[in-house]
Formats: sequence, C-alpha cells, structure tokens
Amino acid sequence: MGSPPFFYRWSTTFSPWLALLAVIVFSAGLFWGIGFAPTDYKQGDVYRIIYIHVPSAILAESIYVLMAVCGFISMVWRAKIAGMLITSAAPIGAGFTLIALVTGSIWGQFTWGTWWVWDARLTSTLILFFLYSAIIGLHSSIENKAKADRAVSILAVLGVVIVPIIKKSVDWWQTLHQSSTFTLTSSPSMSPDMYQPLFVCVLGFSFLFIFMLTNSLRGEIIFRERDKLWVKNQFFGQER
Amino acid sequence: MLDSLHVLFIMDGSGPYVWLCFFVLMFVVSVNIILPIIRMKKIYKEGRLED
Repeated sequence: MGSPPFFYRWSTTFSPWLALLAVIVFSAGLFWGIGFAPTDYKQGDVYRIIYIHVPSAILAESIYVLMAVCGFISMVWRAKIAGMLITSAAPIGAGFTLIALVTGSIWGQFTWGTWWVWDARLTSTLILFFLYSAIIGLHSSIENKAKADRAVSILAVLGVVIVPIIKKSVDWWQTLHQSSTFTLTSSPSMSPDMYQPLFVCVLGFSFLFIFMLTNSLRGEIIFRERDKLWVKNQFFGQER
Repeated sequence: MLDSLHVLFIMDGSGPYVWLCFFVLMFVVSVNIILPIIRMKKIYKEGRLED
C-alpha cells in the first residue's frame, strides 16, 4: 500500500465506488439535516448550519492529525507516499477549515450579531488555517520534492499542537463559542432527531474527504513519478 | 409541493444564511475535486507532447 504504483492501481479500481458512496452518504446527511430535522426551539432553522459547520470543523482537525502522523512516518521511515499524502491532504484540510470559519461566521452573525470575534475557538481555528496555508506554500516553494517533504513533515508534526488547543479552547477560556455538543464521556446534549443526521453528515463528509484525497494523491503520484516506466505504461498508455 | 419548497428555501428568514453556507461548502468541495482532475489532464497532455 505504501508503494505509489500499488496505490495508483488500487485507487483506479476503488475510486469510482468511493465517489458513489461519498455522494450517497453526503447527500443523504445534508438532505436529512437541512430538509427534515426538527426546528430548534431557541435558534429556529438557522441551527441547520450545524450540518455543514460541525462536520467541516471535525475534518479540519482530523486531517491535520492525519498529516502529522504522515509527517512522523515520512521523517522516521522516509516513506515517499507519506510525503505525497501531506501535500495532497493540505489543500483539502485548508478547504474544510475555510468552510468551518465561513459557516461559523455566518452563523455567528445571526446568533451573536457579529461576523467575527477574537474568541479562543475562532482564533485557534484561524491559526489552523494559516498552518495549512504555510504547508501548501512551503511545499510549493521548494523545488527538490524530497527536501520539501521533509520540511512540511516537520511543520505538520510541530503544528499538531494546535488541535488539542482548538478542542479544549472552549473549556480553558471564556468564549462566545458554545462548548462541545459531543464528548466521549457523556451523551449528546441534542435530541436524537437532530444528532442522527449530524452523524450521517460527519460520515458523508469523511467519505468525501477520502475520495478527494485519493483523487488528489493520484495526481501527485503521476506528477512526481511521470518519468518512471510504470507511469508511462499505465497513465500515458505507452509501451517502451 | 411548491409550498414546502418555499418553506425549505425561506426557513422563516434563516434560509439565506443556511443556503449561503451550503453554497460555500459546494464551491470549496467542487474546487478540491476539479483542480486535481485538471492537473492530471495537464500532466497527460504535457507527457503526450514530450513524446
């Protein structure tokens, strides 16, 4: 699985099925949440932003943790695919962080009356977005891809400290942002009619992420290995 | 049918906020899906031209 040709062959077979699964679960979750979940007695229908905001925020943090793990693997075992994975996951992670920030801001405008506050949760999430941007920028600024992989691996591993800070920010500081709805130790503070579609959304967003990552990683593999014989045979369809 | 669609779009005044979030989501997701496909096509074209 760690070898680029193997991953490329594997993803060629599974990518269409993954896309289909992602589209079905993602659409079902959003359709259920936005169209059929009950209205909140306090916030009204605007709370439905939760079905976009929360899965995006969960993915924004999870993708960074995945990148840090890959960074560690890349530094210790010099696995080529781990470096490629960081490069491919960073724009997707940045995208989900941006969605979490923008949707949070829109929701905040409705409920708090302001687009932005320098609140611990919001500020730490903005730092996460800057970290993703730094990884993308750093990687594209270094010509030698092996060196670039090493540099972004270090940044990914060091930067992962922001994830627990984001998670605990609502407990450590007085914030406008509400505390976690879901914890490992207690049952959700939402009604099952509301959190069931949320779980489906989180699942759908995760499948979508796996599909997007596979799609992007295939491009990265082809780009880096374009002079290799297996790419010429499999991608360009030329026998040499 | 049209009434329920109207309710879904307007959502008692919250509709513009919710649908704006939905379009932001769809835009960012589409960009993340389309860009790698364009990149692959570009690599394919350049690889073909080299030969």
